[in-house]
Amino acid sequence: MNSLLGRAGARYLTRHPGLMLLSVLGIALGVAVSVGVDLANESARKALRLSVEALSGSATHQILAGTDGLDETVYVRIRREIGLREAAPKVEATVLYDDQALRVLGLDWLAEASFRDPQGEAVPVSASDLLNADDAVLLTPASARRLGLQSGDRFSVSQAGRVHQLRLVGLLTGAQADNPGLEGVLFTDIATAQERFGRAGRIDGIDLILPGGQRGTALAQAIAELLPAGAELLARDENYAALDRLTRAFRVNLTALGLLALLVGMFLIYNTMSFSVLQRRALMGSLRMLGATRGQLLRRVLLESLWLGAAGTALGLLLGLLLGKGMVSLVSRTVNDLYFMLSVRDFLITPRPFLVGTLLGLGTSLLASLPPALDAANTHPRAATRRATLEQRVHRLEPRLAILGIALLALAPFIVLSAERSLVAGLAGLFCGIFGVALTLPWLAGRLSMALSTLVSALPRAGIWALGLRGFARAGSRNGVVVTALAVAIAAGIGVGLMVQSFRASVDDWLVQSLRADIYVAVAGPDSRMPPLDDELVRRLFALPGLRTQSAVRTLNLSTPSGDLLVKSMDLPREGFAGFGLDTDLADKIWPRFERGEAVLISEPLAYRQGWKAGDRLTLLSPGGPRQYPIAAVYTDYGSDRGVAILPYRAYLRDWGEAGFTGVGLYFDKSVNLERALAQVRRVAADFEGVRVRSTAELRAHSLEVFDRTFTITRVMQYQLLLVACVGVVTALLALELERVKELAVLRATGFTRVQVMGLISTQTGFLGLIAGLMALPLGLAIAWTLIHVINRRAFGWLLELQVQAEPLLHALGLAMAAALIAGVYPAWRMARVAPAAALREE
Amino acid sequence: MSPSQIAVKLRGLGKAYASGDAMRPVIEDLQMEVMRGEQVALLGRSGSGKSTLLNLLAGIDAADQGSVWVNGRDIGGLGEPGCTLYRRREVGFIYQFFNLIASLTARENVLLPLELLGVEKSQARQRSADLLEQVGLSARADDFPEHLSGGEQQRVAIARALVHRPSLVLADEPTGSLDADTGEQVAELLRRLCRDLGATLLLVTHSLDLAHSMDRVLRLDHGRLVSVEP
Ligand SMILES: Nc1ncnc2c1ncn2[C@@H]1O[C@H](COP(=O)(O)OP(=O)(O)OP(=O)(O)O)[C@@H](O)[C@H]1O
Ligand SMILES: [Mg+2]
Repeated sequence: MNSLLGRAGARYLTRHPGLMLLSVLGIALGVAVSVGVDLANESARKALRLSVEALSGSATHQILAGTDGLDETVYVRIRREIGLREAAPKVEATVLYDDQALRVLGLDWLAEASFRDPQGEAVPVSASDLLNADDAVLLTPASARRLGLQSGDRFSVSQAGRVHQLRLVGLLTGAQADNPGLEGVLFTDIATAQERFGRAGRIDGIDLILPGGQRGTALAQAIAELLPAGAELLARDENYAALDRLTRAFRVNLTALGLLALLVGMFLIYNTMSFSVLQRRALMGSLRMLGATRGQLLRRVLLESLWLGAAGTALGLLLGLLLGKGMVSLVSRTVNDLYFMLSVRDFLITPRPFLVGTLLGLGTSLLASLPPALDAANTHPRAATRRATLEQRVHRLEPRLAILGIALLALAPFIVLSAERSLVAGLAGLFCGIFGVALTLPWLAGRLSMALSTLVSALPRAGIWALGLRGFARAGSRNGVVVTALAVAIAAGIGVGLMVQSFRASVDDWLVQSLRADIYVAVAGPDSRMPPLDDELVRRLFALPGLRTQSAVRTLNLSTPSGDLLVKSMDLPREGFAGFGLDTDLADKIWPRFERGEAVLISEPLAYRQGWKAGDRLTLLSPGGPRQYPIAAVYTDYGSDRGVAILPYRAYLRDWGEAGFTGVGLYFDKSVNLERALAQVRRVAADFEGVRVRSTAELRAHSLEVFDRTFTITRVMQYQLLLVACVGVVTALLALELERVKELAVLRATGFTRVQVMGLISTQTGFLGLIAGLMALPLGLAIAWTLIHVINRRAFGWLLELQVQAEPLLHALGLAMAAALIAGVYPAWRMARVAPAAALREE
Repeated sequence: MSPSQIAVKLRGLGKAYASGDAMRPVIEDLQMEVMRGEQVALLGRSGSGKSTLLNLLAGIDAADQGSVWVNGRDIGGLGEPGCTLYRRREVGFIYQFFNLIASLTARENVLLPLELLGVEKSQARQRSADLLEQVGLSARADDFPEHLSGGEQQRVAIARALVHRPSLVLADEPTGSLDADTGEQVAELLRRLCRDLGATLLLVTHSLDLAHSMDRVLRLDHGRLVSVEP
């Protein structure tokens, strides 16, 4: 019905293609960043799910054992006593091949048929090949290709100091052959796995297919009763859900950064639309004169921005796909480093991020254009005849938005506190606060630029500078929006940067404090299922000359009534105990109890997650039944966000009756040359495969490297955010150009040179950057504080100190100005090229 | 004269604008009647309130005192949406600076009021073609305003103001930015078309010649209307 109105709008936009394209690009980048990170997250998540599913075949349930596994008789009893035929035992191990961790899955191929391949075509070799040879393994074709192995090849892997020769007897075929979840999995016969990887007589889990309904529940109950302490029966989804929960905080944080980019993009759409409405005020007035209603104008503007938003969103989804592909490796790597060995490496595309991205893109476009659309609707018909320049128009909207912003800011703490431990509430509060500040900034920036420029123009001989600044001040309200977009992006950078820096400093402090020994020797491998170091190795290490004392640790997954727990069973000298960083009096008090095996320590994240504190009791399920250990203290540990409990080695020996260490720390006499000691330790260790020797300095460097790797993705996103803001600056300056073409033409006609015009524009952009940077500083500090004290605490349970250094702040300020100046180059160039005559004739 | 022949009736009309702290009256206790189809010229010094009066008549400004009756209806009682519809149906407005929609062609500019009224498409196209024909611009129908001369733009504006057959045409210095000859032609065209339509024409001008070619001439002076005899 409004076809002419629509045509008028469309032509207006196509007559200003630069402006239109840039605002499309702005929203596109915003959508791209948020869709990209969402895709990467979802891909990693799906990888997790596929890994879990692939490893469990079509099992509905799994029996999972702790570190020590289950006695194989449990399996026999399930089949015989309970009569469940659809049960298949498995043995899992992690081995190293060329420094890559691979998962070994030992299966009972006869019992397995119903789980993995009903047609029985999964195994290309005769079962006897697998059963009779004790070195036969299978791989999926994709893994074999990646590892450079061919059927028939012999290769060696290592585990905890032992080397194993294996033979690839064939590749998986059939339905499972291209299951990405089986990437990097070595299939072998269960007996082979037991024998080779030190699990004689034991199994790590049993896959089950339980029927639904009551019979299933009854069976599950019967099985659960039969299980020893430490083993649990989980539905497959529960297993996945538990892992999914672990990685959730990490994902949520990334999603939040993505949304921030969209918020910045939103300001761009707002900027473009309010500019276009402002510029068409006379037109809107004429339309009102002709009898167009308010509603018609409102719908028109909203529709226009919806078109821009749709174009931006479409482009954004495409860019997001590319971005996601780029970021998924970063996300997966972090998940691998910190949580779970993903066997899936592919980029798995899920529809949800696209749907969410589309809704967000269109939604933000509409929301952002609502104020300018209302503005258009309220155009007085008299505007048709008023020839007033646009700059003179004061934004009536700004003070109102500022008030709304302050209200949101005031609301933010309440949202944060509404759910004491909820990460989502924390982030929602943070967002509410940032949005609130963002709404007040345009107004504030307008005031600030006005004040600053009166100040400057009062200077004698201010010349071109003053002229530039005065022009800046007059465009105050629209500058305000750009300043805001830039300031929010920069502030997010400051916030995240300071948080990461504080975090890194805390981790480093902690490393220095907790790494008490001179040299560490440990099992090479990523998870706590590793069997201990060879006794012989440990014996030889402890007999090295010049050794003053030593510590030893066994890393375990033990069961508690509330699920699995990472436990480090430690045998420490008194000076090693100092590494927990407890205050001296407390350490003196606890030490004797720890030595006697009568007290445990828990890490800060564990205490936060479980709500445990010193004086409580920790229950562990030992083979002899549940045991309670008094918690003597909570200590700082950035090693795991799941939390760790430190169990005295003596207690482990006593209650589990097992010996062996997964790592040892060597303390040498002061007189010993550490270089030489390190070489000596390496020589000893060289006789054993799969052992890692590191000096304290190396270990510290390695830990920090993992830390930095974890935050690479964060840094990447920071720059993406800045890019969005830069597009905003270019957009705004181009808009300004359109508006000021006449004024500049007059200046040129009066004798301004091109260089002077460019100088004028650069003054303005530099100023814009300066103001954005200045406003970003307090906002950035506030964001950092919130990230550290609310978000990090809730996401990971870590207690950090905010450490503010001048360098990142100055860096941000410089970045803001540089971004603005660089973004200003093109508009300045264009404005300098304005031909005075043509511009003056126009209209 | 019978009431049904009265197109515009002003009663005790008053309008003041804030100037500094005080209110400065622009129009005071104005009485006026204009007959249907009558063509009235409005003279007055700059700042005497001519545009203000037209705005009051178009319903884009509200009176402080008194009332404005157009075709027997009190404009003041219409409210905002009512005023919008009133303008859409009954008023044609012509400005000194044409105010054509830059992103629409001449033809589209003329079509716009019909589209707002929801006139059926083929009929609308016919009517706008007719009017462009009458203003002598059929050949330029697909040009954008920026490619037209001032006189041509004003003729398009006239076509746009009359295409929906308004009963009241308000023109604020329609020849003000045209040269004398062109201005005369444009004014002549406007008068003729209004007469054909039977529309009432209120025209603000600074040109005495133009004023005296109208049916009646009024002068706005210190907020009052004075009749000017030829
Ligand atoms: N919205 C407004 N706010 C304040 N004062 C106004 C407003 N509109 C008009 N005026 C004032 O009212 C007086 C009459 O203005 P108006 O535009 O009606 O004059 P005019 O007779 O049309 O003059 P001109 O011949 O120059 O167009 C002027 O002094 C003007 O400054
Ligand atoms: Mg006037």
